[in-house]
Amino acid sequence: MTGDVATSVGRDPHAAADALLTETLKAAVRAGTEPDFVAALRAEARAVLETAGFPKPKDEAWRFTPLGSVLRVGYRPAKAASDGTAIALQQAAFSLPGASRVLLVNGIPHLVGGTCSGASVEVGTLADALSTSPASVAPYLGKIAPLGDGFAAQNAALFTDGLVIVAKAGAPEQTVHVVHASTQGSSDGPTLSTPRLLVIAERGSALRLIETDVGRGPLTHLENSVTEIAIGDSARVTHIRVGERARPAARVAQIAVRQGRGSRYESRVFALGGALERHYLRVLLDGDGAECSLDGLYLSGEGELVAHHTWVDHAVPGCTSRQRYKGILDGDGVAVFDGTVVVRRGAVRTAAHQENRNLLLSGNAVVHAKPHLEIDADDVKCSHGATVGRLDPNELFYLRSRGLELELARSLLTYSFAREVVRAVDDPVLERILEDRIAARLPDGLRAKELA
Amino acid sequence: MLEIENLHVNVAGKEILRGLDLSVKAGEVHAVMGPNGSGKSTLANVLAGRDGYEVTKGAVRYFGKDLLAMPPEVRAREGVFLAFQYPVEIAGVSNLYFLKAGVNAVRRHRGEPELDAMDFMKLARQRMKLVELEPKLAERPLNSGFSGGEKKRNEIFQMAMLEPRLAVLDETDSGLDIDALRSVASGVNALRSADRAMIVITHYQRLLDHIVPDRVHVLVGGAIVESGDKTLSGKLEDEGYARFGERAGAAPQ
Repeated sequence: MTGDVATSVGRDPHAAADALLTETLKAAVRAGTEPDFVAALRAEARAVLETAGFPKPKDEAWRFTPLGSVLRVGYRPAKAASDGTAIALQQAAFSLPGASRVLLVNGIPHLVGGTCSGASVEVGTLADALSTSPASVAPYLGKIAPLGDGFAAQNAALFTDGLVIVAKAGAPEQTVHVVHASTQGSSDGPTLSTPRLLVIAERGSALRLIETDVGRGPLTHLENSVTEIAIGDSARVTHIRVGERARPAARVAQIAVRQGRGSRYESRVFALGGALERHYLRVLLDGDGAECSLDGLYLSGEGELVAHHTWVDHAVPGCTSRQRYKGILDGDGVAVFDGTVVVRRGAVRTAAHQENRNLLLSGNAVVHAKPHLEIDADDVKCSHGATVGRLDPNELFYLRSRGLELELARSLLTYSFAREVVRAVDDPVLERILEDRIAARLPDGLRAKELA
Repeated sequence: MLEIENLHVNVAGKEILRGLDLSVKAGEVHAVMGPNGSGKSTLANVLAGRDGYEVTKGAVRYFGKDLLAMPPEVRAREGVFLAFQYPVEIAGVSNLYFLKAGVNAVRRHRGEPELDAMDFMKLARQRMKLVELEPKLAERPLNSGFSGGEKKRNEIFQMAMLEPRLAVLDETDSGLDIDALRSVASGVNALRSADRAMIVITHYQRLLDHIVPDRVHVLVGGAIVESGDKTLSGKLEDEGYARFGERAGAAPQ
């Protein structure tokens, strides 16, 4: 599907290798009435774009994610959706019981306020926060997610609004459901959105953040999101991302988390396929006893590429991290798992476990698995492992010997491989949605689902 | 029911079965005994249709049809059942739901109406009692965390549910203590019937004390070297396989 984008671009006489960079610099927000720290972030972002630009094929972190077809497209920031469009999208999205729901269309918040502000969790727009109480976001915005590459810089240079979600100190668990949508007018060229989320879980609070998509989005679209999550001492954040199988569009996401003492972060990322989908999850364990548990499930089929890059930084003693990423590849699908665990000097009593398991359903699929540990401390317990394999012939034969046809047996085993991660979501509505979507990807998948 | 003629089978390029003949009629229980590496499990697997077993010569007729031409699931639907020596554990698959799919695949194939959930459960409860399988186990994921004895009992439970016409029991006694052996055997005996044949593959006599065969065959070096009635197994227990000489030792595992 990346091929489709390249073809359509090939017909565009203005296409050039740096079209994306040119458009980005043109669209970059000029410092005006913004608070100083935002102006500084914009300036730094511009500098990164002007000096380093977007990732090059030889950049280690992007080596397996060919960007040529993305960088040649002069994506322009998508226009805000009309209220009518927003209402239709809001109605099309599923609702989760007990959750406050907000809608981001092309990264711009809609229908925020009133209904979605609880007493103990506040959901507001970034634009409001910057104009009315910049000091409340200044310690976090741009301070958690580094401007490590051109995409992070592009988001920082272009965002005009976003969401700020604050769980107040000691607040009991609340659920915020963020629905993402992208639109493209018929006369618009390739469009770009830069969703920006800031999540602050104050000391002792608990928050569930659920992100889903509505619709499959436009055909030629780049979504470049940055989510920063600050988790205070003893606070807990559960973060579930259920991606719709994207159309031939590109998605690049950075999620950066900073954790305080005794805090907990749980991430459950479901990437169900797309022409180019890349998640970069950074977790800084910055307070004694902090714990993170990162689960991911990715499906990559014909013409698709799904990449997960994780970076877990054990900066202080006594923290625990656990990662489990499972992938299913079919057709000529490509997947990348590049997981790094860093244990800093003095970060004793660290426990870190990382696991990456890949199931290849076809001989043409490719997995790049790169688990990586950097340990600079004593008294640590670290383990990691990556496997790439096919369905177990003994299991297939067993199922067939009881009368199940080969295709159903294959789908049943594939489905049960995936379901282990689905179960970690621990939410009946989301689990059912995920199970349906996974089953829909498999031959005779609905029957397989019944048997699992 | 089953006619095996001059069967030659290679596994990984090595000839394991070298001209095996066996004829089994409905209602009969045949024991196939032999030393390690004589080809017992190869016989079981080739009948059930496992990949990796290359038939180089010979034929297997099952109710007059070419059994070897059928994929494993079709054999199952035609009534062939293999009780595995090593039943696999599959954590993500429900024991009962999967079995219901199997049972209904067999029923569809036979032109019988499928069982709905309620009828299936009724039948399952009845058959669990027959083979002394804890109902709790049947509701767990397939063989997941089962003891050796529980796995074998689950095999016999599946057999009871699938109602095969030809059941092949591959070393069903291996890894069982005497109590488990007795209860598995009583489950098997309860499933003996005039229109069902069984091939009981074992290394030892002790299973045959409980499942008394009509015929006993000695498999050595990939072929049947002696056949007799149930007294043959006792003789083997006393004398061992050594008297079958060179061939007994030479066969590959």
